[in-house]
Amino acid sequence: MSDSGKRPVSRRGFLKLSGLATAVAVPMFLPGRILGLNGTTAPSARINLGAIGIQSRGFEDLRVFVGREDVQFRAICDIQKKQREKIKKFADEQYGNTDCAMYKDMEDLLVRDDIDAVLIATGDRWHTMASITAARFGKDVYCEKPLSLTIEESRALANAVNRYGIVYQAGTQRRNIGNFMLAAKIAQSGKLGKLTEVHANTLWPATTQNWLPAETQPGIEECDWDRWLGACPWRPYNPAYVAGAWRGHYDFHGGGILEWGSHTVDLCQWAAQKDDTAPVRYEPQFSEDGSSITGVIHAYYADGLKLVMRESGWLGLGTCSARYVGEEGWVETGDSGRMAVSSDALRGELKYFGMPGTSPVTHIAEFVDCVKTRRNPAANANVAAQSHIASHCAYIAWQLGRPVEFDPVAEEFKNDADANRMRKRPLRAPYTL
Amino acid sequence: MKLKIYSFLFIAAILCFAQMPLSSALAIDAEYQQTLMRTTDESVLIDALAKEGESDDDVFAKSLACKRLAIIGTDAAVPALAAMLPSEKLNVYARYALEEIPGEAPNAALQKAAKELTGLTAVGAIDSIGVRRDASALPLFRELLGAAPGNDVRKAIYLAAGNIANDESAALLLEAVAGEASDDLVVRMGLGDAVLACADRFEKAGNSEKSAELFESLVCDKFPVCVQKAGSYRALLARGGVSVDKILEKLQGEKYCCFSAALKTLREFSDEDAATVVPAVIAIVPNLPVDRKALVLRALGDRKDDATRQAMLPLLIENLNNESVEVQLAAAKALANVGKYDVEAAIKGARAEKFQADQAVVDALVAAAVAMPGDAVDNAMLEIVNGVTAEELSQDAADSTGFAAVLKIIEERRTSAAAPALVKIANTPNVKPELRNGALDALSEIVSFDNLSLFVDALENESDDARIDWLLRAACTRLPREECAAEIVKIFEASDLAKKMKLFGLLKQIGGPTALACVEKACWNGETSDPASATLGQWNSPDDAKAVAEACLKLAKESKENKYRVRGIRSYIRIPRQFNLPTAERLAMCQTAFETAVRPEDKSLVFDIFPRIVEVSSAQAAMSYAGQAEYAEKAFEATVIVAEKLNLGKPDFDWKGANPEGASAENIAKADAIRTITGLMKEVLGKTTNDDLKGRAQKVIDRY
Repeated sequence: MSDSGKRPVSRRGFLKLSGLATAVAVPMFLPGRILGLNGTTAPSARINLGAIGIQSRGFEDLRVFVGREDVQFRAICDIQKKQREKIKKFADEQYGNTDCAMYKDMEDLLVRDDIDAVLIATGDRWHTMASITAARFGKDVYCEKPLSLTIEESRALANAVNRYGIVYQAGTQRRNIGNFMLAAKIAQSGKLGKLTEVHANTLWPATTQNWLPAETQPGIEECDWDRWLGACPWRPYNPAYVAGAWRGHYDFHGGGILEWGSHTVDLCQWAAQKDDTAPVRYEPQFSEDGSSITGVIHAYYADGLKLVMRESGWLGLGTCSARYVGEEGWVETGDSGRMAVSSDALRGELKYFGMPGTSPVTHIAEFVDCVKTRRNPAANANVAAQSHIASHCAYIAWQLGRPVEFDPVAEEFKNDADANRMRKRPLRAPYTL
Repeated sequence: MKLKIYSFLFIAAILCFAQMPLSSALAIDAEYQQTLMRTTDESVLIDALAKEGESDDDVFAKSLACKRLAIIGTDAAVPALAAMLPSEKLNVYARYALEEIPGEAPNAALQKAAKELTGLTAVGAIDSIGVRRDASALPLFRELLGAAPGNDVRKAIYLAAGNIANDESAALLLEAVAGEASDDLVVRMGLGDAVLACADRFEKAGNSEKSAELFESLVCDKFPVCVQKAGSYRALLARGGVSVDKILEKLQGEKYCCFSAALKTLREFSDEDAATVVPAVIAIVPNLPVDRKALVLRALGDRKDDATRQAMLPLLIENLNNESVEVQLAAAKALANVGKYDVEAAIKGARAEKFQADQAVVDALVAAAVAMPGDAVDNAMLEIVNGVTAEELSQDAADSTGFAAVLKIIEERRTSAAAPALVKIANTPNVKPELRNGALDALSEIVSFDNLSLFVDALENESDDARIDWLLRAACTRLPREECAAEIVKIFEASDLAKKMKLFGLLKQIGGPTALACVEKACWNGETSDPASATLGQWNSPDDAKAVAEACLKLAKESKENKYRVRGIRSYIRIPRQFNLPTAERLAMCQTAFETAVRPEDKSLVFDIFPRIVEVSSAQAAMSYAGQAEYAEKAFEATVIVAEKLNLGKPDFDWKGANPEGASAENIAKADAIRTITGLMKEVLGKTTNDDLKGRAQKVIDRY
């Protein structure tokens, strides 16, 4: 799959000139599996995969990739030494060799000619930057959600993917899971009548601006804190961030609407066939007596369709639930695979599913097929950008504590300077979108 | 299981952050912090920036001020912000505001910094100029480039010019493409990226001539292959029409990157162009190497225009018989998209030798047959299953892949008329296991209430419990709920204990009053009370919530066995914790649960419920247990958690005083809510022995 075209500058040259030189392990001996012996997939049809920033969820993804005959996992990049070594050990055990290369900096991995695609499962703060960097190196990308922290990042990512013609799949796997596919199909079939509302399961929106106290930074090989921060603004090191406590911190996280909205708002956009747009008005909801803001946002598309983002009130069909409501009925489903409908008449449309909504198996299978055929996958950058933009708009409305109007074409809030000044964040040099 | 564990951990992490205290670990006064985050007085923020020093506390305070200035800042803040640009720590925070403040002052400050600073701080300033699309900086960019800056600055200038995207910046970039001599890949990639960004903007503005010129400039060996590919692919589309010759040249050319670009183009050129491009591409398909042939078939198969679909059909059918499995698979997959123009083709495929071939090809052909509209496919499949003989089904028969595929098509299409034939196949003696399974799977998808018993009969010989469970669940998912429940209850009541045990899960899945009544009744029958009460504790049909609560409470109060009384109260507590009932009902259930529970550990579970109900009344309810010494600290903690999660709006008057005359009901409600919550927090402060809780309560008070 790798391109045979000549590069103007060698990889080693790149490393030297950009000051990124590190020890690189290139496999000297190729096992039979790689050579396509023993009836396995021939190397010409195998995707060579690298991975960037693999922890718990990323490891679930990686296990699926490694389990495929048509994928060869070749290299891990992580700013933490212990993670690099853990993933290499796993890969080497799986393949029965010592070939998995380790890198601290992603450019060293991305510049390799023999890498076709990358799995990106860093913390959220790196998702856009790592994906855009991979696109600039011409690599196809499977990236865990959310794809961005701002409206601007969402668009920049889609632009980069389109510019370089890479295959990009956001890790919003429910687009390839049976019960969610069937629920969307029912909504689109007209069997619910005209759609009036779509409901997305989101979480409490808040993030914090606070910092954890400074602690002594480890050596750069153990954990490269500057690289961990990436494009985010500087703050002092604390190991809890690296261990996962970055969640909930504004500089690193997009809040609870985006956390699950990247899945569920996306499902709603898909079911409502609004993949190329976003709602035009967002209204945060308040308690009945008006004293406190709730986590519920009501949004409206240009044609009047209502998108409800809410934490509670679900039927208990599992996490990341979605409900589609029409004039003649509704359907709801969630991560359990179970589905519920408003009437016995609609039950005839249902099917029993056993795969949990968290499984990435079918989503990764589609990605691999798209890498081979250059098709655009279900959760491509364009559709994912739109659903992320909708989630970001909702969070901006929530932070402002008032309704906002949005123009999805210009990607600007209407007559709303405050909201418009919240569409992006600057990037720490030398990172650029 | 691992996925379930992962989900649990993930949700736990989310809940943790949702409950995270809003205060900083740094030595910044909480009230000052709140002021920096919420003030509408710009001067307060400017003063914060003016303080000297770069300790962690200093940077933290300035970070908050800059983020607030990003929203409310004006020219007045620019000098203080500009003064931060030389600092590597503060540079990015200053740019939060400088990128957003309207007018010329930020432009001038950023240009000055770009000229005077070096290294990363200069790069930051240049990036912000690009974000602001400040075209007046272009002469400065030329000046800087002339002074041979470092690679990072050079790249930043190109990217900023790409963002500005006017005639002058396009000229600068084209000159750079011609003249850039650096052998640094970072610089070349940056330049390539800048040209692409610039060309994108011209294209969106409708200037396809300029965008095409920019895209084409990248197709040279100066740039990495991925940049050349991007330029090549976009240039093909930029001029609005498609050059057939160029596409054919790239599809057949040596460079894989150009082939790949052309492949992408095949999916994206306009429907109008299809009439000329598609026949030309189809004509070269036979001469392409196998791997490229497969990819081209898939690409053309993804097009949705009528011209392509009509032209493709004969080619796809022909390639179903290609020697290469790769090409067969591509043709079969494409057929699912375009085959609707010829239903007969799919039917022929279903009976053809291809079904004896690679399983992936079989699966693709099944998908193609499933996608066919109309009833011709159904009729063809019926003819096959009705005509099958016992010999063809027997374990001694030859390969049955084809017939298994037919069963799969019936399952996916839900061809209900096949039900009797499927029952017959499932009950055929000595039938191949995979065909019996296929028949049962299909039957579970088409069974109706009228023939549910037929389906149950067909399962008689099934020995795999997990499979029975799956098939019944699949069947019952689709049937009318209450009638289906009544039928399963009948089966349940007529079953021996072993079979009953297998049906509890199904009854829970069906849900509703009939199934629930059956399970509740079984709770009081000695031999079934254990699995039945366990099922009650997992009941998840929301419309049954109140009825389940009553059943659990009865068990908690009246069961003669302690085990079931405990199970009953714990199951009861689950209802207000998990189900979305009105707040008053949930809080009343909490009270009932607390009063009914006997063991302290069960009573304590009630305090996990309040933090899930983020309302003032929930905090009040939690605090109402503070008088019971054994539970006081749990009550305080639950009260504080609710208060922390509440995001109360402030009234337009000082809530500490009396409500002014004429105040709106909404503002009075806000004031009352704050008074209640701060009152509760003061009570916690006065009574708790937990210092951490005291601190958190105080911080809630400080918020208001």
